[in-house]
Amino acid sequence: MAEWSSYSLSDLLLFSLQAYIGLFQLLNTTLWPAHLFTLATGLAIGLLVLTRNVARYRLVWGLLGLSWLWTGWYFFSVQYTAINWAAAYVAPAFWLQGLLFCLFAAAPRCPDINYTGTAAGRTAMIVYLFALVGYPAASVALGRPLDSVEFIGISPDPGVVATLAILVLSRGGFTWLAWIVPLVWCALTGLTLWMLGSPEFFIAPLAGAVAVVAAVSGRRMSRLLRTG
Amino acid sequence: MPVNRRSVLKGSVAATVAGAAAGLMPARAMATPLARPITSTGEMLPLVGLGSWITFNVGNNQKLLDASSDVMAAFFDSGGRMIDSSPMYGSAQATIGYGLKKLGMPKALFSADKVWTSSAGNGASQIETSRGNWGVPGFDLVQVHNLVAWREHLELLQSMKAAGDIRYIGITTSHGRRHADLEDIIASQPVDFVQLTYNVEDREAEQRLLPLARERGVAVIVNRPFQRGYLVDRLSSSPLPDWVTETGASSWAQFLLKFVISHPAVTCAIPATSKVEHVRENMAAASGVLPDAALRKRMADYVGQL
Repeated sequence: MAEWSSYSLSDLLLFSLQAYIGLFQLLNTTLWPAHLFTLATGLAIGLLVLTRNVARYRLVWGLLGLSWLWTGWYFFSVQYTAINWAAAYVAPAFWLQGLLFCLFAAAPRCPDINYTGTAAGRTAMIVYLFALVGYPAASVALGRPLDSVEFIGISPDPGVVATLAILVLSRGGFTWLAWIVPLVWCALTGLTLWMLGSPEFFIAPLAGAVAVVAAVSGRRMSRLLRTG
Repeated sequence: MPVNRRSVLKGSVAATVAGAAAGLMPARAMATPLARPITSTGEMLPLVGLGSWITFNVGNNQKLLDASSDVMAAFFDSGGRMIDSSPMYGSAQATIGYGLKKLGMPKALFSADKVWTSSAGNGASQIETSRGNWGVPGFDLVQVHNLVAWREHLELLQSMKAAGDIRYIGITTSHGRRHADLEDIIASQPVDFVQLTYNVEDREAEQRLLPLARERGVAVIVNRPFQRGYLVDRLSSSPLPDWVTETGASSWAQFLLKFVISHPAVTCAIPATSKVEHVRENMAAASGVLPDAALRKRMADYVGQL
Protein backbone atom coordinates (compact mmCIF):
# COMPACT_ATOMS: atom_id res chain seq x y z
CA MET A 1 0.00 0.00 0.00
CA ALA A 2 2.79 2.38 1.00
CA GLU A 3 4.54 1.56 -2.28
CA TRP A 4 1.50 2.43 -4.38
CA SER A 5 1.13 5.73 -2.58
CA SER A 6 4.61 6.67 -3.79
CA TYR A 7 3.39 6.66 -7.41
CA SER A 8 1.97 9.83 -8.88
CA LEU A 9 -0.68 9.57 -11.60
CA SER A 10 1.82 10.69 -14.22
CA ASP A 11 4.10 7.79 -13.25
CA LEU A 12 1.44 5.44 -14.57
CA LEU A 13 1.56 6.97 -18.05
CA LEU A 14 3.62 4.94 -20.49
CA PHE A 15 3.64 7.32 -23.43
CA SER A 16 4.02 10.96 -24.40
CA LEU A 17 1.45 13.32 -25.92
CA GLN A 18 3.46 13.09 -29.13
CA ALA A 19 3.06 9.30 -29.22
CA TYR A 20 -0.65 9.60 -28.35
CA ILE A 21 -1.24 12.04 -31.20
CA GLY A 22 0.88 9.81 -33.43
CA LEU A 23 -1.51 6.96 -32.63
CA PHE A 24 -4.45 8.88 -34.12
CA GLN A 25 -2.40 9.99 -37.11
CA LEU A 26 -1.66 6.36 -37.85
CA LEU A 27 -5.28 5.39 -37.20
CA ASN A 28 -6.59 8.06 -39.58
CA THR A 29 -4.06 7.23 -42.28
CA THR A 30 -4.80 3.52 -42.04
CA LEU A 31 -8.58 3.79 -42.06
CA TRP A 32 -9.16 6.67 -44.48
CA PRO A 33 -11.67 6.95 -46.25
CA ALA A 34 -13.70 4.93 -43.72
CA HIS A 35 -14.29 8.27 -41.98
CA LEU A 36 -16.81 9.19 -44.68
CA PHE A 37 -18.74 5.99 -43.99
CA THR A 38 -18.69 6.40 -40.21
CA LEU A 39 -19.74 10.05 -40.44
CA ALA A 40 -22.60 9.14 -42.78
CA THR A 41 -23.64 6.33 -40.44
CA GLY A 42 -23.47 8.71 -37.50
CA LEU A 43 -25.66 11.18 -39.33
CA ALA A 44 -28.13 8.43 -40.20
CA ILE A 45 -28.33 7.36 -36.54
CA GLY A 46 -29.01 10.99 -35.62
CA LEU A 47 -31.93 11.08 -38.04
CA LEU A 48 -33.24 7.69 -36.89
CA VAL A 49 -33.46 8.79 -33.25
CA LEU A 50 -35.74 11.63 -34.33
CA THR A 51 -38.32 9.12 -35.57
CA ARG A 52 -40.76 7.10 -33.46
CA ASN A 53 -40.48 3.56 -34.66
CA VAL A 54 -39.44 0.47 -32.71
CA ALA A 55 -37.80 -1.13 -35.75
CA ARG A 56 -35.65 1.95 -36.15
CA TYR A 57 -34.74 1.95 -32.45
CA ARG A 58 -33.52 -1.60 -32.92
CA LEU A 59 -31.40 -0.44 -35.83
CA VAL A 60 -29.91 2.37 -33.73
CA TRP A 61 -29.05 0.03 -30.82
CA GLY A 62 -27.62 -2.49 -33.28
CA LEU A 63 -25.42 0.08 -35.03
CA LEU A 64 -24.26 1.43 -31.68
CA GLY A 65 -23.45 -2.12 -30.58
CA LEU A 66 -21.40 -2.81 -33.70
CA SER A 67 -19.59 0.51 -33.29
CA TRP A 68 -18.57 -0.35 -29.71
CA LEU A 69 -17.49 -3.86 -30.69
CA TRP A 70 -15.41 -2.46 -33.57
CA THR A 71 -13.79 0.19 -31.37
CA GLY A 72 -13.05 -2.37 -28.68
CA TRP A 73 -11.31 -4.59 -31.20
CA TYR A 74 -9.56 -2.29 -33.63
CA PHE A 75 -8.73 0.73 -31.50
CA PHE A 76 -7.97 -0.96 -28.21
CA SER A 77 -6.77 -4.44 -29.14
CA VAL A 78 -4.93 -3.59 -32.35
CA GLN A 79 -3.79 0.05 -32.22
CA TYR A 80 -3.77 1.53 -28.72
CA THR A 81 -2.22 -1.56 -27.18
CA ALA A 82 0.96 -0.79 -29.17
CA ILE A 83 1.76 2.09 -26.81
CA ASN A 84 -0.36 1.14 -23.81
CA TRP A 85 -0.50 -2.50 -22.76
CA ALA A 86 -3.33 -1.58 -20.36
CA ALA A 87 -5.55 -0.97 -23.43
CA ALA A 88 -5.95 -4.74 -23.70
CA TYR A 89 -7.78 -4.62 -20.36
CA VAL A 90 -10.10 -1.80 -21.52
CA ALA A 91 -11.13 -3.61 -24.71
CA PRO A 92 -13.42 -6.12 -22.91
CA ALA A 93 -15.39 -3.23 -21.38
CA PHE A 94 -16.09 -1.93 -24.90
CA TRP A 95 -17.04 -5.42 -26.06
CA LEU A 96 -19.46 -5.81 -23.15
CA GLN A 97 -20.98 -2.42 -23.93
CA GLY A 98 -21.33 -3.45 -27.58
CA LEU A 99 -22.98 -6.73 -26.59
CA LEU A 100 -25.36 -4.87 -24.27
CA PHE A 101 -26.50 -2.64 -27.15
CA CYS A 102 -26.89 -5.70 -29.39
CA LEU A 103 -29.07 -7.22 -26.65
CA PHE A 104 -31.14 -4.01 -26.57
CA ALA A 105 -31.60 -4.36 -30.33
CA ALA A 106 -32.71 -7.96 -30.07
CA ALA A 107 -34.77 -7.75 -26.87
CA PRO A 108 -38.54 -8.33 -27.14
CA ARG A 109 -39.04 -5.07 -25.26
CA CYS A 110 -36.53 -2.91 -27.06
CA PRO A 111 -35.70 0.23 -25.04
CA ASP A 112 -37.30 3.38 -26.50
CA ILE A 113 -35.30 6.24 -27.90
CA ASN A 114 -37.68 9.07 -27.38
CA TYR A 115 -36.92 12.54 -28.74
CA THR A 116 -39.57 14.92 -27.42
CA GLY A 117 -38.24 18.38 -28.17
CA THR A 118 -37.85 19.16 -24.47
CA ALA A 119 -34.80 20.98 -23.14
CA ALA A 120 -33.24 17.62 -22.27
CA GLY A 121 -34.00 16.29 -25.73
CA ARG A 122 -32.58 19.34 -27.48
CA THR A 123 -29.48 19.18 -25.29
CA ALA A 124 -29.04 15.53 -26.22
CA MET A 125 -29.22 16.35 -29.92
CA ILE A 126 -26.71 19.18 -29.51
CA VAL A 127 -24.34 16.80 -27.72
CA TYR A 128 -24.88 14.27 -30.50
CA LEU A 129 -24.10 16.83 -33.22
CA PHE A 130 -21.07 17.91 -31.23
CA ALA A 131 -19.83 14.32 -31.22
CA LEU A 132 -20.24 14.19 -35.00
CA VAL A 133 -18.61 17.45 -36.06
CA GLY A 134 -17.88 19.59 -33.01
CA TYR A 135 -15.43 17.15 -31.46
CA PRO A 136 -12.96 17.18 -34.36
CA ALA A 137 -13.41 20.93 -34.80
CA ALA A 138 -12.78 21.63 -31.11
CA SER A 139 -9.63 19.49 -31.21
CA VAL A 140 -8.22 21.45 -34.14
CA ALA A 141 -9.15 24.72 -32.43
CA LEU A 142 -7.20 23.56 -29.37
CA GLY A 143 -4.10 22.85 -31.41
CA ARG A 144 -4.39 19.20 -32.44
CA PRO A 145 -2.88 18.57 -35.90
CA LEU A 146 -5.61 18.09 -38.50
CA ASP A 147 -4.44 14.59 -39.45
CA SER A 148 -4.78 13.38 -35.85
CA VAL A 149 -8.30 14.52 -34.95
CA GLU A 150 -10.73 11.95 -33.66
CA PHE A 151 -13.82 10.96 -35.64
CA ILE A 152 -16.92 9.05 -34.66
CA GLY A 153 -16.60 5.36 -35.44
CA ILE A 154 -12.83 5.67 -35.85
CA SER A 155 -11.71 6.77 -32.38
CA PRO A 156 -13.52 6.04 -29.12
CA ASP A 157 -14.14 9.50 -27.64
CA PRO A 158 -16.62 10.98 -30.16
CA GLY A 159 -18.49 7.66 -30.28
CA VAL A 160 -18.74 7.55 -26.50
CA VAL A 161 -20.10 11.11 -26.38
CA ALA A 162 -22.62 10.29 -29.14
CA THR A 163 -23.69 7.20 -27.17
CA LEU A 164 -24.33 9.31 -24.06
CA ALA A 165 -26.48 11.67 -26.11
CA ILE A 166 -28.63 8.74 -27.27
CA LEU A 167 -28.84 7.38 -23.72
CA VAL A 168 -30.29 10.73 -22.59
CA LEU A 169 -33.20 10.01 -24.94
CA SER A 170 -33.59 6.35 -23.99
CA ARG A 171 -36.17 4.82 -21.70
CA GLY A 172 -36.86 1.36 -20.31
CA GLY A 173 -35.04 -1.91 -20.09
CA PHE A 174 -31.65 -1.78 -18.53
CA THR A 175 -30.58 1.47 -20.16
CA TRP A 176 -29.20 2.71 -16.81
CA LEU A 177 -26.63 -0.06 -17.11
CA ALA A 178 -25.43 1.38 -20.41
CA TRP A 179 -24.32 4.64 -18.74
CA ILE A 180 -21.52 3.09 -16.70
CA VAL A 181 -18.84 2.31 -19.28
CA PRO A 182 -19.26 5.55 -21.30
CA LEU A 183 -19.06 7.72 -18.18
CA VAL A 184 -16.05 5.85 -16.84
CA TRP A 185 -14.39 6.23 -20.23
CA CYS A 186 -15.11 10.00 -20.30
CA ALA A 187 -13.34 10.31 -16.95
CA LEU A 188 -10.48 8.07 -18.03
CA THR A 189 -9.82 9.79 -21.35
CA GLY A 190 -10.03 13.20 -19.68
CA LEU A 191 -7.54 12.10 -17.05
CA THR A 192 -5.20 10.69 -19.68
CA LEU A 193 -5.22 13.89 -21.73
CA TRP A 194 -4.80 16.00 -18.61
CA MET A 195 -1.76 13.99 -17.52
CA LEU A 196 -0.35 14.30 -21.02
CA GLY A 197 -0.76 18.07 -20.82
CA SER A 198 -3.30 18.25 -23.65
CA PRO A 199 -5.67 21.24 -23.63
CA GLU A 200 -8.44 18.90 -24.86
CA PHE A 201 -8.65 17.13 -21.51
CA PHE A 202 -11.97 18.70 -20.52
CA ILE A 203 -14.01 17.90 -23.64
CA ALA A 204 -15.18 14.33 -22.97
CA PRO A 205 -15.76 14.80 -19.21
CA LEU A 206 -17.71 18.01 -19.90
CA ALA A 207 -19.81 16.30 -22.58
CA GLY A 208 -20.42 13.43 -20.15
CA ALA A 209 -21.47 15.83 -17.41
CA VAL A 210 -23.85 17.68 -19.76
CA ALA A 211 -25.41 14.35 -20.75
CA VAL A 212 -25.91 13.33 -17.11
CA VAL A 213 -27.50 16.68 -16.22
CA ALA A 214 -29.76 16.49 -19.27
CA ALA A 215 -30.81 12.93 -18.43
CA VAL A 216 -31.51 13.71 -14.76
CA SER A 217 -33.40 16.93 -15.49
CA GLY A 218 -35.34 15.25 -18.31
CA ARG A 219 -36.48 12.39 -16.09
CA ARG A 220 -37.40 14.77 -13.25
CA MET A 221 -39.43 16.89 -15.66
CA SER A 222 -41.28 13.89 -17.06
CA ARG A 223 -42.04 12.68 -13.51
CA LEU A 224 -43.40 16.11 -12.64
CA LEU A 225 -45.54 16.15 -15.76
CA ARG A 226 -46.92 12.68 -14.90
CA THR A 227 -47.70 13.53 -11.27
CA GLY A 228 -48.91 17.05 -12.06
CA MET B 1 34.77 31.90 -14.35
CA PRO B 2 34.33 32.56 -18.07
CA VAL B 3 34.50 29.55 -20.38
CA ASN B 4 37.07 29.89 -23.16
CA ARG B 5 39.17 27.52 -25.22
CA ARG B 6 42.05 27.74 -22.73
CA SER B 7 39.91 26.84 -19.74
CA VAL B 8 38.25 24.02 -21.70
CA LEU B 9 41.69 22.68 -22.64
CA LYS B 10 42.81 22.98 -19.04
CA GLY B 11 39.62 21.20 -18.05
CA SER B 12 40.31 18.36 -20.47
CA VAL B 13 43.80 17.86 -19.13
CA ALA B 14 42.51 18.02 -15.59
CA ALA B 15 39.80 15.51 -16.51
CA THR B 16 42.36 13.11 -17.90
CA VAL B 17 44.56 13.38 -14.84
CA ALA B 18 41.68 13.29 -12.37
CA GLY B 19 39.95 10.57 -14.39
CA ALA B 20 42.95 8.30 -14.35
CA ALA B 21 43.13 8.71 -10.60
CA ALA B 22 39.45 7.85 -10.15
CA GLY B 23 39.37 4.88 -12.53
CA LEU B 24 37.70 6.98 -15.23
CA MET B 25 38.86 6.50 -18.78
CA PRO B 26 37.69 7.69 -22.17
CA ALA B 27 35.34 5.00 -23.51
CA ARG B 28 36.92 4.77 -26.97
CA ALA B 29 39.22 6.65 -29.26
CA MET B 30 36.75 8.43 -31.64
CA ALA B 31 34.12 9.86 -29.29
CA THR B 32 35.41 9.93 -25.77
CA PRO B 33 32.80 10.07 -23.05
CA LEU B 34 34.23 9.30 -19.65
CA ALA B 35 33.70 5.72 -18.59
CA ARG B 36 33.89 3.58 -15.48
CA PRO B 37 34.53 -0.13 -15.22
CA ILE B 38 31.81 -2.66 -14.51
CA THR B 39 33.31 -3.88 -11.28
CA SER B 40 32.70 -7.59 -11.82
CA THR B 41 34.65 -7.71 -15.11
CA GLY B 42 36.48 -4.43 -15.60
CA GLU B 43 34.64 -3.79 -18.90
CA MET B 44 34.42 -0.04 -19.46
CA LEU B 45 31.02 1.60 -19.75
CA PRO B 46 30.45 5.27 -20.66
CA LEU B 47 29.00 7.21 -17.75
CA VAL B 48 25.92 8.23 -19.74
CA GLY B 49 23.59 5.73 -21.37
CA LEU B 50 20.16 5.96 -22.95
CA GLY B 51 16.85 5.15 -21.25
CA SER B 52 13.70 4.35 -23.20
CA TRP B 53 10.84 4.88 -20.72
CA ILE B 54 8.06 6.83 -22.49
CA THR B 55 10.31 8.39 -25.13
CA PHE B 56 10.68 5.25 -27.28
CA ASN B 57 7.11 4.02 -26.75
CA VAL B 58 5.90 5.34 -30.11
CA GLY B 59 3.89 2.37 -31.39
CA ASN B 60 3.87 1.82 -35.13
CA ASN B 61 4.12 5.48 -36.16
CA GLN B 62 6.81 5.52 -38.85
CA LYS B 63 7.77 9.17 -38.34
CA LEU B 64 8.30 8.67 -34.62
CA LEU B 65 10.15 5.39 -35.18
CA ASP B 66 12.57 7.20 -37.49
CA ALA B 67 12.94 10.05 -35.01
CA SER B 68 13.82 7.50 -32.31
CA SER B 69 16.44 5.86 -34.51
CA ASP B 70 17.93 9.32 -35.13
CA VAL B 71 18.29 9.68 -31.37
CA MET B 72 20.01 6.29 -31.21
CA ALA B 73 22.33 7.26 -34.09
CA ALA B 74 23.35 10.44 -32.26
CA PHE B 75 23.85 8.42 -29.09
CA PHE B 76 26.25 5.98 -30.73
CA ASP B 77 27.99 8.80 -32.63
CA SER B 78 28.67 10.43 -29.27
CA GLY B 79 30.29 7.27 -27.96
CA GLY B 80 27.27 5.90 -26.09
CA ARG B 81 26.88 2.21 -25.33
CA MET B 82 24.18 1.25 -22.85
CA ILE B 83 20.54 1.34 -23.93
CA ASP B 84 18.07 0.25 -21.28
CA SER B 85 14.51 -0.94 -21.72
CA SER B 86 11.83 -3.18 -20.26
CA PRO B 87 8.81 -5.21 -21.38
CA MET B 88 6.84 -2.72 -19.30
CA TYR B 89 7.69 0.16 -21.64
CA GLY B 90 5.07 -0.51 -24.33
CA SER B 91 6.66 -0.58 -27.78
CA ALA B 92 10.05 0.75 -26.63
CA GLN B 93 11.82 -2.57 -27.19
CA ALA B 94 10.50 -2.83 -30.76
CA THR B 95 11.51 0.80 -31.38
CA ILE B 96 15.04 0.00 -30.22
CA GLY B 97 15.04 -3.06 -32.47
CA TYR B 98 13.94 -0.91 -35.41
CA GLY B 99 16.69 1.62 -34.72
CA LEU B 100 19.39 -1.01 -34.24
CA LYS B 101 18.48 -2.68 -37.53
CA LYS B 102 18.45 0.67 -39.32
CA LEU B 103 21.86 1.54 -37.86
CA GLY B 104 23.35 -1.83 -38.82
CA MET B 105 23.48 -3.17 -35.27
CA PRO B 106 26.22 -0.91 -33.83
CA LYS B 107 29.01 -2.94 -32.26
CA ALA B 108 29.27 -0.55 -29.32
CA LEU B 109 25.79 -1.50 -28.09
CA PHE B 110 25.49 -2.65 -24.51
CA SER B 111 21.95 -4.03 -24.36
CA ALA B 112 20.21 -3.84 -21.01
CA ASP B 113 16.68 -5.10 -20.53
CA LYS B 114 14.52 -6.45 -17.74
CA VAL B 115 12.28 -9.29 -16.76
CA TRP B 116 8.94 -8.03 -15.49
CA THR B 117 6.35 -10.64 -14.68
CA SER B 118 4.94 -11.84 -11.40
CA SER B 119 4.85 -15.36 -12.80
CA ALA B 120 8.24 -16.98 -12.34
CA GLY B 121 7.43 -19.52 -15.04
CA ASN B 122 6.98 -16.80 -17.67
CA GLY B 123 10.37 -15.16 -17.11
CA ALA B 124 12.34 -17.10 -19.73
CA SER B 125 9.73 -16.68 -22.46
CA GLN B 126 9.40 -12.97 -21.70
CA ILE B 127 13.16 -12.48 -21.99
CA GLU B 128 13.10 -14.35 -25.30
CA THR B 129 10.28 -12.14 -26.58
CA SER B 130 12.25 -9.06 -25.51
CA ARG B 131 15.35 -10.35 -27.27
CA GLY B 132 13.31 -10.84 -30.44
CA ASN B 133 11.99 -7.28 -30.18
CA TRP B 134 15.53 -5.93 -29.96
CA GLY B 135 16.78 -8.26 -32.70
CA VAL B 136 19.97 -9.01 -30.79
CA PRO B 137 21.55 -12.46 -30.41
CA GLY B 138 21.52 -12.05 -26.64
CA PHE B 139 21.35 -9.37 -23.97
CA ASP B 140 24.42 -8.02 -22.25
CA LEU B 141 22.44 -7.37 -19.09
CA VAL B 142 19.05 -8.57 -17.84
CA GLN B 143 17.67 -7.07 -14.66
CA VAL B 144 14.74 -8.00 -12.44
CA HIS B 145 12.37 -5.07 -12.90
CA ASN B 146 11.18 -3.37 -9.71
CA LEU B 147 12.00 -6.45 -7.62
CA VAL B 148 9.00 -8.31 -9.08
CA ALA B 149 9.32 -12.01 -8.13
CA TRP B 150 13.00 -11.30 -7.64
CA ARG B 151 14.03 -14.55 -5.96
CA GLU B 152 12.70 -16.72 -8.76
CA HIS B 153 13.90 -14.41 -11.54
CA LEU B 154 17.39 -14.01 -10.09
CA GLU B 155 17.69 -17.77 -10.03
CA LEU B 156 16.70 -17.88 -13.72
CA LEU B 157 19.11 -15.07 -14.62
CA GLN B 158 21.95 -16.80 -12.80
CA SER B 159 21.36 -19.97 -14.79
CA MET B 160 21.19 -17.97 -18.04
CA LYS B 161 24.45 -16.25 -17.17
CA ALA B 162 26.09 -19.58 -16.36
CA ALA B 163 24.91 -20.90 -19.73
CA GLY B 164 26.38 -17.86 -21.50
CA ASP B 165 23.00 -16.55 -22.69
CA ILE B 166 23.49 -13.24 -20.90
CA ARG B 167 26.64 -11.55 -19.65
CA TYR B 168 25.45 -9.68 -16.59
CA ILE B 169 22.53 -9.80 -14.19
CA GLY B 170 20.99 -7.09 -12.10
CA ILE B 171 17.97 -5.82 -10.22
CA THR B 172 16.12 -2.51 -10.37
CA THR B 173 13.94 -0.18 -8.42
CA SER B 174 12.87 3.41 -8.99
CA HIS B 175 11.38 6.40 -7.18
CA GLY B 176 13.18 5.33 -4.00
CA ARG B 177 10.95 2.31 -3.46
CA ARG B 178 11.94 -0.79 -1.44
CA HIS B 179 15.44 0.41 -0.66
CA ALA B 180 15.64 -1.86 2.38
CA ASP B 181 14.93 -4.92 0.24
CA LEU B 182 17.42 -3.71 -2.35
CA GLU B 183 20.04 -3.32 0.34
CA ASP B 184 19.51 -6.94 1.44
CA ILE B 185 19.78 -8.12 -2.16
CA ILE B 186 23.00 -6.21 -2.85
CA ALA B 187 24.45 -7.60 0.37
CA SER B 188 23.42 -11.20 -0.20
CA GLN B 189 22.98 -11.91 -3.93
CA PRO B 190 25.61 -12.22 -6.67
CA VAL B 191 24.34 -9.39 -8.89
CA ASP B 192 26.57 -7.45 -11.30
CA PHE B 193 24.31 -4.39 -11.50
CA VAL B 194 21.78 -2.55 -9.44
CA GLN B 195 19.56 0.15 -10.91
CA LEU B 196 17.99 2.84 -8.76
CA THR B 197 16.77 6.42 -8.75
CA TYR B 198 19.33 9.03 -7.83
CA ASN B 199 19.46 12.73 -8.62
CA VAL B 200 20.30 16.02 -7.00
CA GLU B 201 16.99 16.00 -5.10
CA ASP B 202 16.44 12.26 -4.52
CA ARG B 203 19.61 11.44 -2.60
CA GLU B 204 18.52 8.71 -0.19
CA ALA B 205 20.69 6.21 -2.09
CA GLU B 206 23.79 8.09 -0.88
CA GLN B 207 23.15 6.93 2.67
CA ARG B 208 23.44 3.16 2.32
CA LEU B 209 22.87 1.78 -1.18
CA LEU B 210 25.65 3.54 -3.10
CA PRO B 211 28.35 2.87 -0.47
CA LEU B 212 27.20 -0.75 -0.17
CA ALA B 213 27.23 -1.25 -3.97
CA ARG B 214 30.75 0.12 -4.08
CA GLU B 215 31.85 -2.08 -1.22
CA ARG B 216 30.28 -5.18 -2.83
CA GLY B 217 31.63 -4.41 -6.31
CA VAL B 218 28.17 -3.94 -7.82
CA ALA B 219 27.86 -1.56 -10.77
CA VAL B 220 25.16 1.11 -10.40
CA ILE B 221 22.79 2.31 -13.12
CA VAL B 222 20.92 5.50 -12.25
CA ASN B 223 17.41 6.11 -13.56
CA ARG B 224 15.39 9.35 -13.38
CA PRO B 225 18.45 11.65 -13.23
CA PHE B 226 16.11 14.50 -14.27
CA GLN B 227 13.02 13.20 -12.43
CA ARG B 228 11.54 12.56 -15.89
CA GLY B 229 12.33 16.10 -17.02
CA TYR B 230 10.68 17.76 -14.04
CA LEU B 231 13.99 18.94 -12.57
CA VAL B 232 15.17 20.49 -15.84
CA ASP B 233 11.82 22.25 -16.28
CA ARG B 234 11.83 23.54 -12.72
CA LEU B 235 15.42 24.76 -12.78
CA SER B 236 15.33 26.27 -16.26
CA SER B 237 13.90 29.52 -14.91
CA SER B 238 16.94 29.94 -12.63
CA PRO B 239 20.42 30.96 -13.76
CA LEU B 240 23.05 28.26 -14.17
CA PRO B 241 25.75 29.18 -11.63
CA ASP B 242 29.02 30.47 -13.09
CA TRP B 243 31.14 28.19 -10.93
CA VAL B 244 29.74 25.03 -12.52
CA THR B 245 30.97 25.99 -15.99
CA GLU B 246 34.46 25.00 -14.75
CA THR B 247 33.29 21.42 -15.17
CA GLY B 248 32.23 22.02 -18.76
CA ALA B 249 28.52 21.99 -17.92
CA SER B 250 26.72 24.54 -20.04
CA SER B 251 23.10 23.64 -19.28
CA TRP B 252 20.93 22.48 -16.39
CA ALA B 253 20.70 19.01 -17.94
CA GLN B 254 24.49 18.73 -17.87
CA PHE B 255 24.62 20.16 -14.36
CA LEU B 256 22.19 17.49 -13.17
CA LEU B 257 23.91 14.67 -15.02
CA LYS B 258 27.36 15.68 -13.82
CA PHE B 259 26.07 15.63 -10.27
CA VAL B 260 24.82 12.05 -10.71
CA ILE B 261 27.76 10.55 -12.59
CA SER B 262 30.35 12.20 -10.38
CA HIS B 263 29.32 9.98 -7.50
CA PRO B 264 32.13 7.41 -7.42
CA ALA B 265 29.72 4.47 -7.03
CA VAL B 266 27.73 5.36 -10.16
CA THR B 267 28.61 3.43 -13.31
CA CYS B 268 26.07 4.84 -15.75
CA ALA B 269 23.10 7.24 -15.77
CA ILE B 270 20.36 6.55 -18.29
CA PRO B 271 18.40 9.70 -19.17
CA ALA B 272 15.69 9.14 -21.78
CA THR B 273 15.00 11.60 -24.57
CA SER B 274 13.23 11.82 -27.90
CA LYS B 275 15.41 14.66 -29.19
CA VAL B 276 18.75 14.39 -30.98
CA GLU B 277 20.03 17.66 -29.50
CA HIS B 278 19.23 16.44 -26.00
CA VAL B 279 21.04 13.12 -26.40
CA ARG B 280 24.12 14.99 -27.60
CA GLU B 281 23.85 17.39 -24.68
CA ASN B 282 23.48 14.45 -22.28
CA MET B 283 26.48 12.61 -23.72
CA ALA B 284 28.58 15.77 -23.47
CA ALA B 285 27.98 15.72 -19.71
CA ALA B 286 30.32 12.70 -19.62
CA SER B 287 33.25 14.85 -20.70
CA GLY B 288 35.25 17.69 -19.19
CA VAL B 289 35.66 17.66 -15.43
CA LEU B 290 33.51 15.78 -12.99
CA PRO B 291 32.71 17.65 -9.78
CA ASP B 292 34.61 16.62 -6.67
CA ALA B 293 32.95 16.10 -3.29
CA ALA B 294 33.12 19.80 -2.38
CA LEU B 295 31.61 20.90 -5.67
CA ARG B 296 28.93 18.22 -5.47
CA LYS B 297 27.89 19.58 -2.08
CA ARG B 298 27.80 23.09 -3.49
CA MET B 299 25.64 21.88 -6.40
CA ALA B 300 23.16 20.13 -4.10
CA ASP B 301 23.02 23.15 -1.76
CA TYR B 302 22.45 25.50 -4.68
CA VAL B 303 19.56 23.44 -6.09
CA GLY B 304 18.15 23.09 -2.58
CA GLN B 305 17.95 26.88 -2.29
CA LEU B 306 16.11 27.35 -5.59
